[in-house]
This record gives sequence, C-alpha cells and structure tokens, in this order.
Amino acid sequence: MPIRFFLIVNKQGQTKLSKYYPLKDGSIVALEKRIPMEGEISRRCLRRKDNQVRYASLFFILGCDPGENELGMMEFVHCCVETLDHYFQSVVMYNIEKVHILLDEMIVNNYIVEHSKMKIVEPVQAMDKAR
Amino acid sequence: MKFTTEHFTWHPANAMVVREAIGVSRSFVDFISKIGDARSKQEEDQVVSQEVENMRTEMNHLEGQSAVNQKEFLVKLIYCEMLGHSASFGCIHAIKMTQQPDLLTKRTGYLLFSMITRDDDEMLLLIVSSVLRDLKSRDYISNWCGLTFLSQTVNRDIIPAVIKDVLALSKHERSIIRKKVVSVLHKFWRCDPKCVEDIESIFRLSLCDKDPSVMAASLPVFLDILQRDPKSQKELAPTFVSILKQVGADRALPPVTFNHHNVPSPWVQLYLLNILSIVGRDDPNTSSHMYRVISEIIHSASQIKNNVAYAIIFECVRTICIIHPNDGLLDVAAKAVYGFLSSKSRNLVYMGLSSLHSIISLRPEAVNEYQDVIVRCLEDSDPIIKHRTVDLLCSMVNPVNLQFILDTLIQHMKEMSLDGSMIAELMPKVSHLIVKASMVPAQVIQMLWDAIEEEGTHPDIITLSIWVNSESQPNEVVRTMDLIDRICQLSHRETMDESMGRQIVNALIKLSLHCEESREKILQRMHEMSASRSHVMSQMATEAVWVLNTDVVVDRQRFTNNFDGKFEMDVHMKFLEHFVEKCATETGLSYVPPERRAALRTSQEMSNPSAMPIKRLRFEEYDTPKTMSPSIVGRHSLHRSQSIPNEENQNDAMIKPERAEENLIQGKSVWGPDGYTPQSEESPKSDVLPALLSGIPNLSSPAKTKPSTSFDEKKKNDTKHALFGISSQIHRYPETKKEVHSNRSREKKEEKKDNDANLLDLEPTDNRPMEPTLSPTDAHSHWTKLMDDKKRFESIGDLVVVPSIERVSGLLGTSTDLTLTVATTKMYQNDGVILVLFVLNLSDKDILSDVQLSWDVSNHLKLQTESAEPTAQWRELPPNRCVPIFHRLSMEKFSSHANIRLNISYRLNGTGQPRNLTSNTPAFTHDFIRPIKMTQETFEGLWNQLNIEKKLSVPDSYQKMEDIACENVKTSSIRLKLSALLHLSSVGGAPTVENGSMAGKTLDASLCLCRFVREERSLEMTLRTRDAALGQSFINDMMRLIQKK
Repeated sequence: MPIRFFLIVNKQGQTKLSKYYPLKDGSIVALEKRIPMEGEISRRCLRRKDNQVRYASLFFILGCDPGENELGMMEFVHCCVETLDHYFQSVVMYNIEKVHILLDEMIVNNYIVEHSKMKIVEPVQAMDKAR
Repeated sequence: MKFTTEHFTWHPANAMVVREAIGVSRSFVDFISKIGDARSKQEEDQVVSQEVENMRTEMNHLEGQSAVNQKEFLVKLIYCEMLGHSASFGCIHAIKMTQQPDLLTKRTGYLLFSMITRDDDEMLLLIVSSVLRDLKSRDYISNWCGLTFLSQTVNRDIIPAVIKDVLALSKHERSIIRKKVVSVLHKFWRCDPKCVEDIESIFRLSLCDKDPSVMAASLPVFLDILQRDPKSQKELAPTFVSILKQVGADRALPPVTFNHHNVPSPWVQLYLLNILSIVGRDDPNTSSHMYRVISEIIHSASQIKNNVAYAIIFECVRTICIIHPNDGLLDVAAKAVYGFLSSKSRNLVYMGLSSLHSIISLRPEAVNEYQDVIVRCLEDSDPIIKHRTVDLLCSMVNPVNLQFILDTLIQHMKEMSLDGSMIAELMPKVSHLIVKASMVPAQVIQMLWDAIEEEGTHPDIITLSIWVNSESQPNEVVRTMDLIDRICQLSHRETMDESMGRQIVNALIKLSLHCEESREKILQRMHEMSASRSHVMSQMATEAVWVLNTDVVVDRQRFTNNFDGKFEMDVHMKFLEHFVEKCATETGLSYVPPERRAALRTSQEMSNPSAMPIKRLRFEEYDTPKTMSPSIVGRHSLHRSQSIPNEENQNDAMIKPERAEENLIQGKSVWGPDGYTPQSEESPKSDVLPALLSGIPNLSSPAKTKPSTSFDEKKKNDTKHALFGISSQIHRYPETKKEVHSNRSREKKEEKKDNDANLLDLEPTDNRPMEPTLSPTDAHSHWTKLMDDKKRFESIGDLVVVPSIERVSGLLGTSTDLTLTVATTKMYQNDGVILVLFVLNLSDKDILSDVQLSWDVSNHLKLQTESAEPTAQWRELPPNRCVPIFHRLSMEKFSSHANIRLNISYRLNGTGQPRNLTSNTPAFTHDFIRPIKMTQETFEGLWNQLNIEKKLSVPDSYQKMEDIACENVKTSSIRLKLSALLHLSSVGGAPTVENGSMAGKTLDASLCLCRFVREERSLEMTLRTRDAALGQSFINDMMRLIQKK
C-alpha cells in the first residue's frame, strides 16, 4: 500500500506543498515532470465536488497505486490535517519546513509509520524547546 | 477546525505582528507574500526565477550572516524546489547547515539535501561526516536528525560507513530512535538486501519491540519483503495474527494516543491485514489460523460507524477473498459488502463495488443478490462509480448477458470520450470480450458503426469500430462499399494516429477482397497514404499497395468470417504452388530446407579443411531446378512441426538426413529427431528411402497436420497433461509444490533404475541426466499435440514460425506457483538452438494480466526473440491458455555454467499485487554442438591440425555401468551414450569400449574432436579444438554431466 506523493494545493490549483516518495522502481518523479503532473492532478481533483479532503480552501491530495484501500488513505489525509492543526498555532507559510518534518515522521519509505499525534510532534517540540 | 487557508496565505495587515512574533526577516516575508499573491503559475514562476537569481549571488555572502538569515535561505530553497525550480545550487549550503548547533536548522539542512539529491548523487559522500557526527552525538535529537536523513537518502557506497553507528543505536532507550533505526535499515535493505548480515532477524526483533510505534514501523519492511518473496515469512504468521489480535482488542497500545476516531491504530490494522493476505494466500493451513482474528476485527469495526472503521472492514473483505476461502467469513464479507452498496455515501458505494469484484470471483452466484444495486450504479451520475461498475461487469460476462455488457461498455466508453486514461483502461477488456464472443451481436456492430460518424469520438473507439466492422464482414455489397468510403474518409483525418492507421490499412486490404468495385478506390487511397509524412504509415501503405497488386493472396474463400471460429487451414498451401514454381523457374534456385543447408555448408568446409572457418563463394554449378514442393517456411509453417515423426515412424525419420548424402563429400548430418542415429548406416531401407523422400520434404500425412477446430474441456485437460505429463498430479493436489513434485519424479526414476538398471541404460536418447522429467520424444510428441490445437494459442499461428527441428530436449526449467506454470524446452536445429518457453495459466477462471517477462541470461549468451513481440501479444492470459514463446539462443563466447533465468510477473485478474515466478534453464556447451560424420582418415588429419587440447578422466564407477550395458546390447556402447549425450558422432568402425573417436562441430562450424582410451581404472578423454574457451567449457560441461551420472 505504498504512498507515491503528497500534495497541498489551493483552490486555484497552485501547489502549496509537495512531497514525493520513490516509485516502484526506486526512482523519483523528475523535477520537470512534477509541475505539469501536479496541474493535471489538481484540476481533476478540484473537478469533483464531493469526496474531497478539503479544509477551508486548501486541498490535500495523496497519491497511491491503483487498487489501494482508498478510504483508508483518505482517512490518513484527515489524520495528517489533524496533526498539523494540533501543532501549528501560527502561520504555516513561514514554517513550511516543519510541515515537511512532521510529514517525514508520518510517512517513511512510502509507508505510514506513525499516526499518533503525540509521537509525531515529539521531536519537533523538543527542537522548539532547545531554541 | 482552526487550520484554514489563512495559515497558508499572506495578509499585509498582520505582517508586522507576524514578523515580530516568529522572528522572520523582511525579505523572507516579502518572498512568501509574493508567492501567495501570484494569480497564475506564470506569475509565480517569474517571482521564483527572480528569487533564484538573487539567491545565487547572495550565496557567496552568506558566511557571517545571522543564523536566522541562513536558515531562511534554506527555507526559500525548499520553496523553489517545491515550485519546480531546481535548488541544487544550494547543496553545499545545505551541507554546511547540517553542522549547525541549532537543531531545527540542522534538520532543515538535511531536509533540503534530501529534496535536491537523488540516491546516486556523489554529493552524498560530502554529507557523511555530518551524519556520522550526529549518529555519535549524545543528544537524541541529533541522532534523530541523522537517522531521518538516512531513512530518506542513502546509497550502497555510504552504507558501510554508517552501518556500525546505526546498529549501535538500535538499542537506544528512546523508542523514537529505535523506530528510526528500523526505517533506516528498511531503506538499506531496499538498496541491498544483503548489506547487513541477518538483517531480517533485526526486523523480527523490532516487530516484537515493547513500544508499539517501533512495531508499527517494522510492518512496512515486512510488506516489502513479502512483495519480493511472498513465501518467505510463513513462520511469522502466528506473530502477525497475535499482534493483530492485540491491536484490535486495543490491548497492545496505550489507548487514546494511538486511537484515530475511536479506532485503535487503524493503519497498523490495515498493514497487518495486508500482510496476512499475502502470507495466507493459497495456503489453507496458515489461512485457517487467521479466520478467527479477522472475524473479530470485522466485528469490532462494525460497532463503529465512521470511515476509518469502514476502511478496516473493506480491508478485511479483501483479505478474506485473497486467503484460502472460508465459507463463514465469506458470508460475513458478503454482508459487509451489501452494507457498503446500500449506503448513501458515494465513497462507501465505491468501496462496495471494489470489493464486489473480488467476492464475485469466489462466489459467482453472489451477483444475483446485488443485481439491483449494480443496475442502480450503472445509472449513477458519478462517472467514477459508473466506471467501477462497468469494470465490474467485465468480470461477470456469460453468453446470455454478453450483448448487454458489450453494449453498456461501448456506450460508457463513448460517454467517457474526454477521459483517455479510462478508455485506455477499458479497451483491452472490450477487445478481449469481442474476441471471446463467438458472434459479435449485430446491435453492437451497429452501435460502433454509428460511433464512427459522431463528432468527437475518441480515436481508440474509432479504431475499435473499424476493426469490428471490417472483421464482421458485412453481407451486402452496398454496405461494404459504404464502410470502405467511410474508412477512406477517416484516413484523411488529422487525428489519425499510428494504431488507427494500421487498423485502417488492414481493414481496407481485407474489405477489398469482398468488394471488387471499390478496389480501385482503395488502391488510390493507399497510393496517397504512401506519401504520408509518418514513415510507419508510408511503409504500411506501400506494402498494402503491393499486396493489392499481387494476385497470389487473392483467395477469397480463405478470408471467411473470423468470428465464427472456423478457420480452415490449407497446410499444403497448394494455392502457392503456381507462384513458387514461377519463382523457381525465374531464379533457377530451388528451395533448400534448413536442415540440408547446414549439411551443404559442412560439405563445403570439409572438402577444404584448412580454409574451414572462411566462408567462400560457391563456384560450382547450381543443381538443376526441381519442381518445388509446398514446403516453404512461412505463414502456415506452424504445422511443419508436426511433421517430425513420433516414435511410430522413427525409422523413416532416421534416414531422412541421409538424403543429402550424394552431395556430401565427407561430412554429413547424422542427427535424427531423436538424437544421434548410429543404426542408419546399417538400415536396409537407407538406399530406397532417400529417393522416395527427396520429393517429399518433411511434411507428414495430412490427417496428422489438420488442426482441430473445436475447443472443449477435455482438450483443456489435454493441454495440462501435454505440458506436464506426469506432473499433472499438481492439479489433483493443489498443496503440492513444484519442488516436491520434481523430487518425486526423480525418485520414481531412481526406483525404475534400481529395478531394471540395464533397461534404463539402454535408452540412449533418455540419457540426458540434466533433464529427467521427459524424454525428448515424449516432449516432442507432447509439444506436437500442443501445437495441434491452434485455438489454444493466443498468438494465432501466423506469427509463429516454427523452424524445422532435429531434436527436442525434455522440459527444462519448469516452475509453477499453481496459477501460472512455465516450462522451457530446447529445440535443436542443425543451424541453431530455439528456446521455447511455454506459459500456461492453470487456473480455470482467473485471467493473468500485466504479464511481463524479464530475461536474465549469463554473459556471452544471447536470446533473440523469434515470435513477434511477446509482451504486446498477450499482456493477458485467459484461463487454461498456453502461450509458446520462441527465442533463438546463441552463445557469443563459450563458457560453462551458463544459465538462462526468467522472471515472469503477472497479476490475477488485473488486481492485487504483482506475483513473480522464476525459472532457470541451464545452457550447455553441447547445446551448440552438432555431430558430423567423417572417416577415420579425415579424423586423423584434422586431429593434428587442432592445437587446443583438454583432457578429462572419467571415473571408474561410471564405466561399470557402461560395461553392463555393453554386454547386453552390442550397439549400446559408451561411445553411443557419450555421443548422444554430447551431440557428437562416432568415427570409425564397430564400437568398442577400449578406444574410439568422436566428432562434432559448433554452430559456427568450429571443429570439436574427441578421443577416448580405456586405461586401467578410468577412461581418458582428450578433446581438441581451435578455441580454448570452447574446449574448456565443453570439458567442464562433460564433468557436470558425468558427475550427475
């Protein structure tokens, strides 16, 4: 049930965050292919009115292989959003690296390894404390 | 929910507040706000490009700037990379930042580095020192930074440098570090499964870690391992079951922390269920231990009504359908699916349709309960749900509903015209259904007919339509003309792509046969198309013009309706005789069958041994042209294979190669279909038969060659039997594995040997110890039988050109996983080796899809495909189908222990994880050696010219057996045995055990002479060649064969 990419786009379809994980053959989607791909994906996703993981006007998109447990994956996106919500009090835009760090705690080597909010934010909070 | 778009957008009003609150610089805030304000991608690109320019210059002055600025620089680079502008110029800065004391900066440095480098990047070596320092640090967050980096980016070169420190952390007191170590080792394992000794035992330990999050992190590792080798973790099945039990009962994990919407560790449960489905697949025993826990999980998930719980139920249903079926559980699953389908939520209906797919394959009758739902979903307004339903329909086709399903499918495809990917997904299924249908319903044809005219029809659908309409052979001439007109019009379209063009050309050629009136028009159009800018199109059209202008092909009776299943084959191809005769007279060349070509070549070489390797022009007169017989290798040569006689007419066959005798000076082919044929010299028929046979190239009686036209159950079983012979017991005992089976057959063989050792030893052709399962004759007759039923093959005979075969090896490299079986056999020709791969779908109902072959051949070996592009032909393999694939095998340089390894991956019914199957076929030096006949004098002459000499001593034990054999039957001497074994022929008079000589040549006509002398305790063999590598590898292979003995 490998995860291939994680995207956050706004309602204009502009990418706000993207994370790519290795494909089946171990390679990563090349940088120049990403932008057109993201455009196509967000266009398709935004076309659907239901079934969206959408908070205010941001859309969370998770890419996995066909035949996945799609419902489970959708719930995982909810889990991600809840975790980000749990941690961030201030503007995320200036802390985009922390979003990456949190996601890196949740998804490793294409798989979900952690979903406990406490455990996910533990190292980030420890870093905050040390500052 | 507090988390809103405000978090991600910029508001000037609170800029100051924000800056003061989180301490960011003005330039940083400006950059972020500009990106946020960008209205379009172009505008955003401009901003970022500008910033990249600025940063490139700024980079040089970063030293000495404040820590905040340096970190912001990193974050800006992250933005650039995410927005599609390469930030790799910041690589060195990232490395510098990883050495900062501030942990967030350090981690961000690693983060950027991971984002901009690939695993094979040389820059990786530069960061190793930072990683090592962090791994050794006493601060656990530093450890965590280093480990997180390693879990994302690593390559083989740096593993040895860091592995010691990583392993040292595997017993860290903090679970977060232990968890990361598992992830890092997972990544290492992906790079190289053997990077750490006994890495799997480390994973097993972490699976039982006291902290649940470490356990959770090790599940993906096992998923990966199982994907590569589904049978590897059987012994862990009870562990997985017990973990799932504890997780489900909420016992293993401290509640609250790991709950998500009241469901305990939902993704851990999903992964565990997924693991169980792989482990329990096709394994009744392992599966039986899972039933209980699965029903518990499904029960407790049913108590909760939210999406997470539904996701778990869905996974349970899927697992139930994959593992060895249990009726009780299937009932539960069917009930759950019913719940999904009757839900109001679209998501759940979608999930229901997905799971119905797997339920139907196990319980076809279950469909009846869902009829209403399926009908309702077919009319659903949501294209995705509709698409799923149509997809589902494909798996429930029967003769009654075929028309309806085809109708619906095509209708759906027309509606989907905008979405190419969905059409591409359905297209193979539709074509499959149409091919499967014995008669395409008129209504469907009409519908496709109409589709051509409609505006905006997807090109794929038009292609389909052209195909179906041209194949279904309209009855009235008017309609045919109309169709031709329409197709011609289509060919003018700009949107025409290659596949459509190909279809158009094929259709027009075919239709021209039915409609003389439009012939001129078609010809005209083809002429126009041959000027096409696309080379492929132009080539196709030019060929079409040629075909249309040639009168040979026009035999209308031959092009009857393809769909009615009757395809008459004229194996003699009498209609070509006139053409062949004409050509033969014009050119003055007669057709030389391949087996004679080699003999001719040898004769030329032998007449002038000193110049042997040099290919010379032939100055002699050509033979007087003879009346051509219908033995041209071509379209229908498929059936020539059947001409190779079976045991009944073996004697005739043995003499056949002698035909060329008159033309030969010294060397000649002495190889019959059953190997070396020593008796042929003494055969009384040998004088009469060559004359008789010369006019009749190896075409056997028509009764034998006639392809059977019906395809029934019995024949299906015949296929299985034909392919596996005695191994058909596999079907009766599904739990029996192939390895067990082959042992069994070996045992059988050994028993036989004990009982009647002599008898076994007297079968010269069965003396190939490496291929114990089937004698060549058996393999051959089985194979012939297989070929007999044309219907069974996906690639209809036209594409398969079967060469003339001198000898066939037994089945080699057989391998099966009880769904798919592959076996290879080597066919020896006088001038080559053909490796035939049989791929058989054993299943009665499952379609194997996405079948992919990957060959891995040893150095110096070469495989060239003989059939037309195999993958394209049968990406899908229907139940009970067998496909042969032909490859020409050649060896560029001789080496021993050559091996051909095939990995075949496929999926069942287009769903689930790909499965893999491997088979190994050894290649021997003697595969490439052919016997030649020569006199003792020639042998002596040649012997002295060959400079490479190799020696081998055959141990005594082998000899004794030979002695027994010799006493019993005169002809069965060691020479005979060895020669059959090594593809050499004996030289000189009556065979003795004391000494003798044998001769053979490689496919590229390099001589190989062998001499043996009986010493007191052993048999001394001496081999002479020109090629040192050949000599060495031949000797090595002899060793292998003799030791096997």
